[in-house]
Amino acid sequence: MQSSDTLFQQKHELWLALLFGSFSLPDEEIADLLYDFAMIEYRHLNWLGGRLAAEGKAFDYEKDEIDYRAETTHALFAKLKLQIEMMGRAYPDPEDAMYARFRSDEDYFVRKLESLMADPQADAEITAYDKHRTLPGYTLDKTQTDALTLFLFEESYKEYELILVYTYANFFADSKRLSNIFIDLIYESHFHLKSFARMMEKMGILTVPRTIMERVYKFEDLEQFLIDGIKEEEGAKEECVKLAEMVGHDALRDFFFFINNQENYHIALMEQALDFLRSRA
Amino acid sequence: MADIEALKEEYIDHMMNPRNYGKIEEADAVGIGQNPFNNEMVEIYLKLEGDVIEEINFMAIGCMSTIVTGSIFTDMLVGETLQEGESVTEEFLANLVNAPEEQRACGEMVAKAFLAALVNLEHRRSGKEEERYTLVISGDCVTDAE
Repeated sequence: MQSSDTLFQQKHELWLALLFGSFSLPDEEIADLLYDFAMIEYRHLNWLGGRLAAEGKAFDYEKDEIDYRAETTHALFAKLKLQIEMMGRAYPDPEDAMYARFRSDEDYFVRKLESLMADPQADAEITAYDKHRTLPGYTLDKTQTDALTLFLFEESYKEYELILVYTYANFFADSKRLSNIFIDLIYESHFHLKSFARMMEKMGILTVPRTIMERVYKFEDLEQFLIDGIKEEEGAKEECVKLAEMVGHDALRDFFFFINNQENYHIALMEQALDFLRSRA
Repeated sequence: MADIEALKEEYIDHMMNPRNYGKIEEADAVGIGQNPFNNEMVEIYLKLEGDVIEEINFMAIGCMSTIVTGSIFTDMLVGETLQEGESVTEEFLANLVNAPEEQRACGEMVAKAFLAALVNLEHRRSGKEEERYTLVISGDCVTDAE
């Protein structure tokens, strides 16, 4: 049996392994299946964190290297299956409804992975991190490719950070209003992370974002965090517009303007949270 | 969109796999290089064998340029003595003068985090209980934050 914080770390790592494993897959149907599993793991992480927070136990987002890289999809499935099975051995109480749910979900994931491993059609080469840096369907020159590469690295990290920060803030949210805003922001970032990571897979530059520093999410001043966050969102919007103008392809430009317009609503949500905090001060 | 010209294969590799990233538990010294203008920072952790840098890790709140610089910089110092490390850092800082402003700030944060760790080590060795030491970047000169 492991301590709660170690269990939380292992759950965090498993979520990321499934998430980035799903992003690395060339077959979109299988990628979607694994993405659903990863999102269920994220919900587990949320429930576990909520319980730890309610019990007053300390936990953080420290993580070791995430083992999601493989040369073929079958090799990846085998790797993920092993990690899920290790997770199952770490749960403390077999009678606890939450851990029983975790086990039941993961037993199903293992069976699905085993069936994929038995299907030769489900095996394929993985090129998600071979650094080829071309985007199928687009001709980008070096400047455009470099700009897109940097943007994807910066923003995939940022979206991962936002998911973790708002998830952590939500563990301690003391109002339904704030909690709803955090949940909206979390799921917006899940979508952005997925969009950027799938593009990184296509370019061969997929990577799990680095560990975020504790002081980023264990902040004392939520109001200041939101003020800084609004500034950052405005900066991200600018980068998005610059990139949209630079890439010079209608479909890509359209995508980045779509993302940019979503950021407007994030800012509105953060301003609502700020107003709410100030109204009760 | 800084650093586009610098986007070489090696740079991409450091972005994908930053070397020596992450906290060292029970480090012998910890230093922070902080940018007071935007709250970005680099934290460096040292594990020593005598005066030799056995392990040097970093974490950062910053852009990819900071991560790449931290990755390359820490890789250079593994296995060096503290004295060699300090001299490499001084040279690194001197060379930053010609770098674009944003890269200069990133490089300066990394270098000053290392220098701050050296100050922290000195304090610890002289018996002071100090978790970490911080140096703030401010153009050409170093400003003590604590």
